[in-house]
Amino acid sequence: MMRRKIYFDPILVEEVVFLEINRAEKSGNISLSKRFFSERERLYEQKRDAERGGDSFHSFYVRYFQELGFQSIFEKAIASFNILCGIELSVIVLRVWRDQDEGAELYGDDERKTVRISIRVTRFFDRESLSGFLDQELLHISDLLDPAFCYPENSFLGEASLGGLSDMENNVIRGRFRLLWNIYVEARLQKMGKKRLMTTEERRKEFETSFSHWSREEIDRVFARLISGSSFAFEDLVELARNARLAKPIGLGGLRCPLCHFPSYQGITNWEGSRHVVELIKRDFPSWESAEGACLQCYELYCVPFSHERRAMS
Amino acid sequence: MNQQVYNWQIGRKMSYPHAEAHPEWQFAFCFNLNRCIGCQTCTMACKSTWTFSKGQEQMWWNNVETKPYGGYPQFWDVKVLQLLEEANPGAQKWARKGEEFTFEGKTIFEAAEKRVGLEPERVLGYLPTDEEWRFPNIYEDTAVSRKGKPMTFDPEGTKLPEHKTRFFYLARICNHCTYPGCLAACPRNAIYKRHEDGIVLIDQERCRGYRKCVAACPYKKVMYRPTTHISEKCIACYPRIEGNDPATKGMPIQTRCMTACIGQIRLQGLVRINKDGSWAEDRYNPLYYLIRVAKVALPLYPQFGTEPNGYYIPPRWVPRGYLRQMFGPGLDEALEKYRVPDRELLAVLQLYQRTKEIIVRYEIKEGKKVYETVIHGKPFTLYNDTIVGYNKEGKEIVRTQVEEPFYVRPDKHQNSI
Repeated sequence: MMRRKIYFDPILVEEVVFLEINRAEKSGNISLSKRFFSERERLYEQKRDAERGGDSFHSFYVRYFQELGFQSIFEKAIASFNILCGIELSVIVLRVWRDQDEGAELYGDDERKTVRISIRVTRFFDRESLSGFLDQELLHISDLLDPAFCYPENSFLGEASLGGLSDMENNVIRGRFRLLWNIYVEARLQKMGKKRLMTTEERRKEFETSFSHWSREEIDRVFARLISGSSFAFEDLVELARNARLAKPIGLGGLRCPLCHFPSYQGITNWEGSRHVVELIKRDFPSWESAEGACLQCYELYCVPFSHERRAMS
Repeated sequence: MNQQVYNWQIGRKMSYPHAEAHPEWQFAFCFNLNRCIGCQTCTMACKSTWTFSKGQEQMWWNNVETKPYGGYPQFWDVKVLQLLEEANPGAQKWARKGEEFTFEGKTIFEAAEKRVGLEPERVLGYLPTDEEWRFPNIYEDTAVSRKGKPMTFDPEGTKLPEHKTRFFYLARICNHCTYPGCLAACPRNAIYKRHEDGIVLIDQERCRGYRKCVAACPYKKVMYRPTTHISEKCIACYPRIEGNDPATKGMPIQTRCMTACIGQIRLQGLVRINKDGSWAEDRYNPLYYLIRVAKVALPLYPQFGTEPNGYYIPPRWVPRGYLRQMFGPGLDEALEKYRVPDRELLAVLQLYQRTKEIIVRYEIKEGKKVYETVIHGKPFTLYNDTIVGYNKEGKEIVRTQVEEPFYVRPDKHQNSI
């Protein structure tokens, strides 16, 4: 039996318990709140100012956290993923203030893994949504640990180079990769009979926006594959997230300018009447062929010395 | 069982969980919002004095928020107004009787009485969530404006009397209310109002962290500190008010947030209170003059019913409807007086932050007429009067003029003009 330990942020536990007791009181469970407050009052009487915040308050709140059933939600969620049950695992649950800070991260070495779950207090008051959130995050973590997913070792997605030619391009690929991964995760959760955080229709809309450069047929085909339950590895998803047109120069049907390497939708491919500009570019880029095209900014850059030379000659 | 108490700001008696009991003096302040530049020096002066230690993240006893969108906690005022409206739909109104106004709606205490629930509540309120406490200065400098066109300026945007593109800074501390919501709600009687100066404090030994005060204070100026498991609030720098600062040799001194104010928007003092709770006539106390004589400074959301002792000179460029909701029906008179100030008002306005000590009396020595003009269609004459401020012992502590002294730099420096 592998060991598993869950550590909860004491301030998170206190806040969740306090607000849940208040909710219970408002909905009629007076006896619970009376018991809670009278037990808590005794703690204040036992403790002096300097000692407040110590172990007795913490263990008091942990007891109620367990009694209210919050700890078991986490335990059940972890237990439903085989990969997480088969390793030495520590889970640290921390309180965050904003929804964009929520999520899960994996740390550790071959011997022992640690999962950090960042979560807002308000999420605890909709237990179904809390379970859905945990399932979503823990399936991502399972993927990271799954040899079949082939996630590159010791790599943080936020810092990894994903084959883009610039940080900006890597960021775009990363954003699309995250979306693909989420769709893939949600499809499998649905198969497992678990709640998903977003509907297929909502994800489909997001998918269409992020992959608007694809044809309708390609969008339909890839999306259907993602939600069908087919198996994907990390590199498969990254490959889909990359934009093939960025690898090709403007004149060859892509978006990349062969001179400055920035992507552009405004390319020059017809050089009629601009022979002098072509010569000026070739002076700096001897291997460049006019058929490869150039972006409008580079074209304008070479137009300026051309007009200077012509003025000097006249 | 609630008692009947008199609240002069709403012009009538109202229901309150405790019987009337009034202090000898009342801590009060008057902020001129037309001058606030939102620099947050007051916020940091308070923070670095009182709330710097572990668990301080939510402790912003003083904050300056950009209105109309900003607020700490987020949307505190809109939420309380909404709760009151839900409790008394369509009836939260003021009525005029001659020169006086009466609030005919329900205060937070009266609205709570009518609430049907399992556990009776003494005060109508709510406990803000984490999301609402997360940014003390959310929407800083975010203006209301008309829908614009790209690359064009709105020529009407900043025309008086009301700017169409606008925001203003609202500096806030605890109002040390006459009928505090926090005090009324505390199940432990851990909150008390001091007899000597009306400052509202939390007894840190009695507090058991129920957070009823956090929910009840309509201004959300009580904050819970999870590291100590008890609530905290502005203490009005009471050691300074008591005269314990060695700099003033026993004389009361204004709070840290007041004296740090570089925009000179703040004037703080003490007003004498009669046994029945009314303000004792004190014609030459600058606060008494601004609030009760000139009526240029108004309480924040008087309809909440706590009789706050913080007063504001409203910003003159903001639409009147918004300000009327915020400062009550005295708004139009206050703005009219501030726009074209009379001789005495102009002189008293010079007293803002010219001294750290508390001015309990002022005197005006008439000076020469400087010029005459017409402002907003009204004649205006400027006199270079001198105003003198005195402390509790009658000692002169400040002397200044309406026209700022003009110094010509001697012609011996390289950069002399």
